Amino acid sequence: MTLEVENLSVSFPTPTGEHVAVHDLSFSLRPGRVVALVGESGSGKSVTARSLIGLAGPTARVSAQRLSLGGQDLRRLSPRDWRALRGRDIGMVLQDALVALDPLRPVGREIAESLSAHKWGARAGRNQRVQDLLEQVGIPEPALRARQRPGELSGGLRQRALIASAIALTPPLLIADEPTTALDPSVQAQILRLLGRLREGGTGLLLISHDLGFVSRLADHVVVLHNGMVVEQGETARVLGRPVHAYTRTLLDADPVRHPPRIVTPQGTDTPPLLTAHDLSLSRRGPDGVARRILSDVGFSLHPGRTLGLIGESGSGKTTIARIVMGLTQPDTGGVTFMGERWVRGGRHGVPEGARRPRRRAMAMIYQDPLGSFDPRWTVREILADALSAGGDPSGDRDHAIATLLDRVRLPPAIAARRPAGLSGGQRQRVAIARAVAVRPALIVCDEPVSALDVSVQAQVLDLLEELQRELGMAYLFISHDLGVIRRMCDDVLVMQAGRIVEGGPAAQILTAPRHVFTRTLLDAAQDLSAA
Amino acid sequence: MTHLLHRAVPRFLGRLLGGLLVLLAAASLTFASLHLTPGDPVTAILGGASANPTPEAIAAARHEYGLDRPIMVQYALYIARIARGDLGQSFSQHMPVIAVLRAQAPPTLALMASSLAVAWLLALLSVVPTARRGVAAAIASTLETIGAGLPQFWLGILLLWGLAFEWRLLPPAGNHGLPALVLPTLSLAIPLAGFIAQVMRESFDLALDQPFILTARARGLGDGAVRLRHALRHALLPCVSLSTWAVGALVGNAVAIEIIFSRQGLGRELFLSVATHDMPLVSGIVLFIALTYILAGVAADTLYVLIDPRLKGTRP
Repeated sequence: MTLEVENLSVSFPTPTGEHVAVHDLSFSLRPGRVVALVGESGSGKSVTARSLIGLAGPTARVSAQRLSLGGQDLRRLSPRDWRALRGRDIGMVLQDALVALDPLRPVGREIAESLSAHKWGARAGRNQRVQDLLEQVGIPEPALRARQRPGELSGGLRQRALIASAIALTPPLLIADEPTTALDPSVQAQILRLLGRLREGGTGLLLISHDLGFVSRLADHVVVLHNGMVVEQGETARVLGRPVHAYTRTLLDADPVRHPPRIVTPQGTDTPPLLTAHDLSLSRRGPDGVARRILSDVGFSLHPGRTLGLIGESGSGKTTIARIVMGLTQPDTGGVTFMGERWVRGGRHGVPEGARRPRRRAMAMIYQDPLGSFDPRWTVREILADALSAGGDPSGDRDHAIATLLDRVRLPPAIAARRPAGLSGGQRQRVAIARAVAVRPALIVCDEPVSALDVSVQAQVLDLLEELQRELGMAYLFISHDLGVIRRMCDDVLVMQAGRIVEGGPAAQILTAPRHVFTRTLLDAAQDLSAA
Repeated sequence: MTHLLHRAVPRFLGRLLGGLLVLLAAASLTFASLHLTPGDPVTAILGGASANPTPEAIAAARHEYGLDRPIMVQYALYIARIARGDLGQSFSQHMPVIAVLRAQAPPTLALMASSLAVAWLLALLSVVPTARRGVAAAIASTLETIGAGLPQFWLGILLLWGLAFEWRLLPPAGNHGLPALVLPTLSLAIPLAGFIAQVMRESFDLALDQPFILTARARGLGDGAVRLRHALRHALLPCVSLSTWAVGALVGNAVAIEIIFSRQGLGRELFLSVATHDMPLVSGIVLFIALTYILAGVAADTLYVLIDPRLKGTRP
């Protein structure tokens, strides 16, 4: 059963005229083959995927010279025919199973629904099939897992459950829309292997991703999309190895792995550390009433102007450390010293906020999702003016100060009048950086600052952070699950597993000659995913 | 299992204690209003200024209610009486308050239950088939706004005039059988349905935008099944919260509706007892309403966890 797409165009009516999301896209997908659609957000990848199963939305205008599946013309399908086709002939896997599966229902019922929607078998048979599917995608204890909700499963297990629900009726074709985005490298590697097995089993795969490393490991054919137009397509090795179009080269160059590693800042032995943390421990009671260790005996120090990276899987305690360093979470034991004075003291009697206030402006934070950290009703001018006055700006010429800040983060002054919702992801993160820099901090805590951005935007934001560090001499506490990003940004690295630091030291040593077995697993997983 | 029990028991005890405190507060308020309103509490107890009781009756009542003792002692005695389940004697009805409640509560509870059920039914019918469907959504949404804005008494009079007097389809008054329940129920249910539907529509629309809805459609699930099996459950929580509030509001609105439709019930009884200054009965009804409200809260908490199991253990 082959999917033939010829000159597919999708457009949406907007108040200012027709918006063309996809323009003249052509490719064909056969069982056992993998076609990848590559491009940044807004390039039309997801719209294409939805158009292929008739879910582009009620306002979408889909046209094509040819759109057929195994000889059946998809352009003339009735709504009933589309329903019969979805799940049976083409399955679909979305990004992030935590929200792509109904969070209120056990995953087993979600998978069974793929069967019952097509009147497959009787109830008992469906239950048996659900367990077989869970086993097929490599989930241990399938009977137990089927009764759990997505929130009760780990990221890897629930992404597998999502794939199980998409392949329940063994559709010959599967669309995977960013199947590994936002997952840990080791989980990404597992999903990569699972999708590879499906391909060997004869499933045709349409892979949508902005991760070129992932694509190069799996795809036979790559289609590069930019603003809805195909800029280049062909065999994977050719497109990624000898790109013809400038945009493809930009995408490839933006991959942090291709960037030379950081030139380590020489550490002055005579300067006292800016921040030291010692013996930080924290336990919290889970929903079942059992106390769990979130952090155990964490300690480190950070010198002025240097960057300390924090890597580890999600749930390993990275963000908890950031919160403790910011003075937002009170640890059970240990303490933090900042600028030579007590900043956090564990236990019942913490450092009062009043004692911290004079030093507050010396510490700033950049979040993964800047949109959530802005007041949506404020303009960029108001956001930055607020930060400037919090930073004790003598408020001589506020407009001038704001223009200088925007210039510093390479944004045009006209941005000042806009609101966060009207900005692109990269522009928003730049405003967040401007806000952090406005208080003239000595330390910026960066929690996954580029994880939500496209690769090329990611590269620009990382460049900006490096330049600002050189110009202003701040230290960064840099949290990321992306080893490429860590390698390019950090002087020193701490590797975290289950709330403990398993290894720490200079980035060059940790990332090339790790001593701990967990660090080696992390590196291997990243290696599996990076472009060959 | 033991640690779950270990946590469930204090939670239940906490709920129970909270409920008792609300009851105590309600009892204290009625006690205060009895003593803070102008005039002698004895005349209030014995039927207000117009009752004209004999001096012997006044002295007897004064002693019976402990009014010749210090106010703190009176308060303690009052609370102790209520704790024993003795709500006193209604002078306007010439029977114990408990007996009045026993007779009048069922019709009001029936009216509240049917109003809440019909309001939910109307809201579901208005939202589920129309949400995110262009013109249908716009029309249904407008109707919901109008419904939410209708005053219950005005709607009641309109229904009475149209359906009972002009077309004679339904009985205009009384307590007997289901037909007599229809008009009062509609008068209370239609505005409430408007409120519930507005809240439901908002969260239903949000739920329809979630990625798991796209996944469900990509499985080949029809639109109706997507709405009923996936989106609806996500839209229920705020409506359950609203319904707890509605239980309180329904009692208040029942005052007007029971009078318009000449129904027996607590609303009408509350109105009459206030009008005749029958303070024991007023206190009794207020306490009963507080109790209903507490039970509605407990029921809502149970429903929350049934709808969204993730809330298990997160609520105090």
